Amino acid sequence: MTFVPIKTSNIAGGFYSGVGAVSLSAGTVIKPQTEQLFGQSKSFSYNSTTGVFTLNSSKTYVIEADVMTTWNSTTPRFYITYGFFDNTSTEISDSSRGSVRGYRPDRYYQSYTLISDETALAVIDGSSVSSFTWEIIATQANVSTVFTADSGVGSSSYSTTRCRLYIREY
Amino acid sequence: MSHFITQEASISLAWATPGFTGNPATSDYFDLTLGHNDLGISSTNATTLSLPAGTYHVRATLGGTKPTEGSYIDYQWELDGSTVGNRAGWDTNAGNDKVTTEYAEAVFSITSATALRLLCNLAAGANVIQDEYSGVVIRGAAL
Repeated sequence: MTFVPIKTSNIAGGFYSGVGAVSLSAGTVIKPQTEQLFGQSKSFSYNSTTGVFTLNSSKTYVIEADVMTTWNSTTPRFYITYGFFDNTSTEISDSSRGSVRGYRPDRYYQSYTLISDETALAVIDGSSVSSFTWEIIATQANVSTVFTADSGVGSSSYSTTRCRLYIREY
Repeated sequence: MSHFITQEASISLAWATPGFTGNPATSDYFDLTLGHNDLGISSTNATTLSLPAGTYHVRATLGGTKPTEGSYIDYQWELDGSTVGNRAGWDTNAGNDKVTTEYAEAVFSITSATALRLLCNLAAGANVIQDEYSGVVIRGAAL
């Protein structure tokens, strides 16, 4: 008699993109419109109208998110920061903010000192946080500038990167 | 006759917040403050986590402020006194322009409780770590 182990994963998850060409400013809730699922059947849900992810109280989650932006002024120096907030608008405690900075590293660091990874990261225990949103925390630029998500035009037309969020459920 | 047995590879999670009081220098260790912890990890002291036996993926990112274009930190995980995984760091244009990942990652298996620390490999300038831009995710499973 032979016993053959079949290993399965306890992971479910989703990839969220398609934010669209929306303006980004402090307090903007980022609302991906496209959902692609992977792994086991998920027990969280996502409302693309509100941008709210609702979590299962018996699960724990790893969240990653990046912002891609373009800007409408000539060669600004800028940064945008973003992170995750619960349903009381409190920033998730076990999280780190991400930032995008520009428009060139050498010029950026002549004006600003902030550095971080582009990816915002969090571990969320569904038993203590029932839902979260992905939000812009601050925008800062040396000239008046409108930041737009995902437009793919202007100074960043070479980039095919788009705003995206991964959620992994354990 | 063959019997098929389903084994779930159950992954558990922990979070730690890295920090540093003052300006990190070469060979310093960053503080690691535990948050969510489903892995039975304990803190030996401010800079050292004790991981129980298991297989792990650890990932750290450090954010903060750097006073000049040329200032930077470079960091890496240290397991039981030996560096593991990739070196990560902050962008710099000092001497040799460098744009790199801010994520230090490592994968390893340990058969008994082992010390894990986050080492500052190199530093230049009066850099300041900011907790809100820094984090550690630890994924672990039983051997």
